[in-house]
Amino acid sequence: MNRSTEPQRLGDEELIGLVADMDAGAFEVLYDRHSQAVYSLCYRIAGSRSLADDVCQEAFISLWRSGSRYDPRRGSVRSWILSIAHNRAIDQIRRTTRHDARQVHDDGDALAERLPASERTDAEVLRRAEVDDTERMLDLLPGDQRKVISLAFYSGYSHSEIAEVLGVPLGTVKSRMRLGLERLQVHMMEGAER
Amino acid sequence: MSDQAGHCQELLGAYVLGACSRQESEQIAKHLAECAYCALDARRLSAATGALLADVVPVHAPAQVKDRVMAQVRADASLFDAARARERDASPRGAPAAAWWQRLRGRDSARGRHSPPGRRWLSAPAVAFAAALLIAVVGGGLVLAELRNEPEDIRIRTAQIDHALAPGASARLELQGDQARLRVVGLPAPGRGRVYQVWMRAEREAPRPANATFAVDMRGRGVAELPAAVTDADQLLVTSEPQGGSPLPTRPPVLQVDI
Repeated sequence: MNRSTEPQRLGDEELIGLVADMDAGAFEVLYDRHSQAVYSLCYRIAGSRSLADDVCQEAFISLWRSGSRYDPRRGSVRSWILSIAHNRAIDQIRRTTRHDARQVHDDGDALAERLPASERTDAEVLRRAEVDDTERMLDLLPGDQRKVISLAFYSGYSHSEIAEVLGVPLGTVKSRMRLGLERLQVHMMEGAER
Repeated sequence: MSDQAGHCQELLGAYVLGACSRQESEQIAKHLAECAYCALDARRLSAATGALLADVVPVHAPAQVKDRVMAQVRADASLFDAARARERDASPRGAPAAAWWQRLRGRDSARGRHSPPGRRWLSAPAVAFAAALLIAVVGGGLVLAELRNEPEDIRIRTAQIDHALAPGASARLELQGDQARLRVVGLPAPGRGRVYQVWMRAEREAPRPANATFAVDMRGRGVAELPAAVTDADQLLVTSEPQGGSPLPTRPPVLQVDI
């Protein structure tokens, strides 16, 4: 690949190869392509602008410094970037949250409770946005499955924490997680076939 | 962990959602490496979690996030380019270092890492590793090697430098668990009988000592191990102070880091 090629014309896999060589221009193109998806995920998990800013920044710096670790056999560059952001965001909220202090009634309440009062407005905005948007994949699931998956994947709770705060047996939580994921996977396959 | 058939399907949903304990996750990962049946099941369930990553309400990233990211990226790239240029200069006709590079490159390929077609330059980790080996002649090599090999869970805060006081310097705060470390490169000597002192500052409060001073070597490199309390501050400052430190800053800060 010619280094003089405009980075905007390159695919993600070619760009990540240049990022592994510390090419700042190639990295900026990747940032522009994926920052909205990454930031949206960070905001969904962190629940506030200020935390999302930090996590998004850390995720992209991590990407910049670990570009050489990308392995195309394990998925697209986009899913790799989102996985980095997800891991960072979950680590962040686990660090800043005392799970045992939370009382969970629904996912939105949990989100609001772990935020300082000054940032609860953000959480409420987010919750309203989710309520308004009926096209989310999780909305395809029954409420009990949606709740355990959301608490685990977007709020960083462990299965035993979820069992405790919801007051249901651990085995029930595990089976709801599995059934919910299976149902999502079926929806994805049906969507792909349509 | 496993059922009567020796599989771990009951836990796989929680596993791909990241909701298992560390011990469970390690056991499952080990099992998946040996059991094709469960590995296939895990891949199927992971497809759903992969879709959930992007299944969120779209929110635009603020411009200042990009500004901060790109400032760090350009600083790293500049440091890396300088080290790479010094490597070239330090090995006339490319002989000894190139041999190292070729060996490293071969090892990188053998690991099956991604290497884009037609890439003529060597992989950054290989160059960084070579730079570390050539530390006697390459100023930024060690820093680069550390940059590329740092742990995944480390959090970085980039310092703002007063370039009138410290032209060409760069610095960063590394946070990992309860540990905090300030690392500087290219900082001028603090002056005869003086050291650099680190200060913590909360919003609208006067700076207070972080109980950390540090010196720099001939290349302006220095590291300050900081107490965990700095993570509660809003900002860190560094000033040049008399040996032993001062109760209050006596000179303007050469750098500051927003935490």
